[in-house]
Amino acid sequence: MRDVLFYLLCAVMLGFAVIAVTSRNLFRAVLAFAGVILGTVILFFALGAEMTALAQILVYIGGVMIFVLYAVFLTSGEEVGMPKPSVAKIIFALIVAAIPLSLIAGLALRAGCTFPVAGEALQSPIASLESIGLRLLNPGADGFLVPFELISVLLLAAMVGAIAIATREKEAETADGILTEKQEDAS
Amino acid sequence: MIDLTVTHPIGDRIREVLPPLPAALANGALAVASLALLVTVMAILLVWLERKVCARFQARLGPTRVGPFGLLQPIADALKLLMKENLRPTATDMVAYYLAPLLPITGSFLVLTVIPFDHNLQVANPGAGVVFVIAASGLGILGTLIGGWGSNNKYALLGSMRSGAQLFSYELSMVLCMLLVVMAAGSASLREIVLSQQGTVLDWWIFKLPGAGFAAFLLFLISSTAELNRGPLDLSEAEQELTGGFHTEYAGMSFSMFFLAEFVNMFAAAALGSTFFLGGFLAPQIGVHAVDAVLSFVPGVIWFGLKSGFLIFLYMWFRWTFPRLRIDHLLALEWKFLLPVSMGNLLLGATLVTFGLLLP
Repeated sequence: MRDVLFYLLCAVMLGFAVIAVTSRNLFRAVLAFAGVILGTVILFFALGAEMTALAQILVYIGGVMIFVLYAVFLTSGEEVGMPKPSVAKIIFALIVAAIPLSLIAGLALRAGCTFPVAGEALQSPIASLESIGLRLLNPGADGFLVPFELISVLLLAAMVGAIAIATREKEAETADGILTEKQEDAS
Repeated sequence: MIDLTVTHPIGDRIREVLPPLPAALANGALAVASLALLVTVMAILLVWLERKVCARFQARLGPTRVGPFGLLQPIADALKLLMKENLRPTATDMVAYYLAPLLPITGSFLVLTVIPFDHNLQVANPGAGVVFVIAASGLGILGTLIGGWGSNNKYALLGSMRSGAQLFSYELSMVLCMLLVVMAAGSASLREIVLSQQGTVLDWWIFKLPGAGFAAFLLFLISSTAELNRGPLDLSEAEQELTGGFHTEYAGMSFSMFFLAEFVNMFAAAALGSTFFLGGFLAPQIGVHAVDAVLSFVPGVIWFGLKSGFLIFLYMWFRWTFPRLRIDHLLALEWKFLLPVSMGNLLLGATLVTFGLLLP
């Protein structure tokens, strides 16, 4: 039962992935990508990695997808279709895609395909919200306090950069007019 | 599977009689059916209530003719919507146009699955229930954006661009308010949060954290009003400026899906508010034994309904009292006022919890 569901889900995800790559309509490609992400979420849930699944939705559906959609909205005009890629481009893309695929396949063969079966991974309590939170804030040997804080510094830097890019020159700003509104929208 | 089982007399009986797999399927089907019923009844009730409350605030009577007190009016509305043709303008993106109305309702349906309506009345109880709620509400934003773009209409696109900015910003302060309660309760499971408020009324998180609880409750009310796309913060719809915003091009069933999601979302937000701050399904006990005995005799689901109903009334009161904000004021309110205040409030709450300065 579980295996059937797994292969079904994988087939659906692969289908979405193919659409995401081949669709000439940028907007539909984004939608298909969202479908792939939702499939991954279901996979994580099936593996018992509740927190990873939820974080996947939060970050990808709630964050990344929204920003990608915004990018599509703001950049494409009337025509969202993309030109047909040339044969050389397709061949090059296939080669680039084949390298990581062969690496992953090699790793899988080397591991002898002995991945934890769905049922086994479920019992491990490591992926609960509490344990993730405690390990993130643990300064000890098995904790991740330093990387956690480093990430927050990175985010701060990104935020400062975004504000610096979005801020207009002083003379362009009026007291509370339309320009401020535009500025808010852009940020 | 992660153990999400909630014990309930009916569910336990089914688990006894049937082998595990059919029992799980039967219980799941039962849960989905009851939630679907709840969503339908709730939507009908809320539409009626909204029309009545709105009318009273404007010194009118509201619907009175269909059924007693106009109670059957929403059913007539629903029938009208069902019988309308499901028009799709030719220039729209078909996939996006039909996909968009399904996402918000899916999101609010998912939120309802983790809400504890009573001691044993909850579909699933994940340990990270709060995170689940936040994640599920992300689907609503996606639906709005896709719908706005798929409609191929400038008003719809403007509405969805605004709603993206708005929902995204206000989610921050809403999550910070929830985080305060999660921190105080020591658990992210919604059921545990309710159970952490056992005792008298003063043990509810709105009162138990002196000052911080009430501030968080107010912040939650404001930011969830924005999350719900309701007036005065309904910038993405704004009938008067944007002719309805992201759902301008929708008609018939696809429109009513957006409409339904809005009302179910309001119920879900009210339910979350009462779960986090007002003790959820717990009876409001006041410490006098005789009164408490009577109060706790009333089933929890009724208390839950009353508390949520009160919050829903507050949302309606907001909508029909305050004028709509302009988009830049709206974003300034969030980023320059609500977000810093809720961060400070979180800090205050952390101090109170650490030093044990809670109400006894």
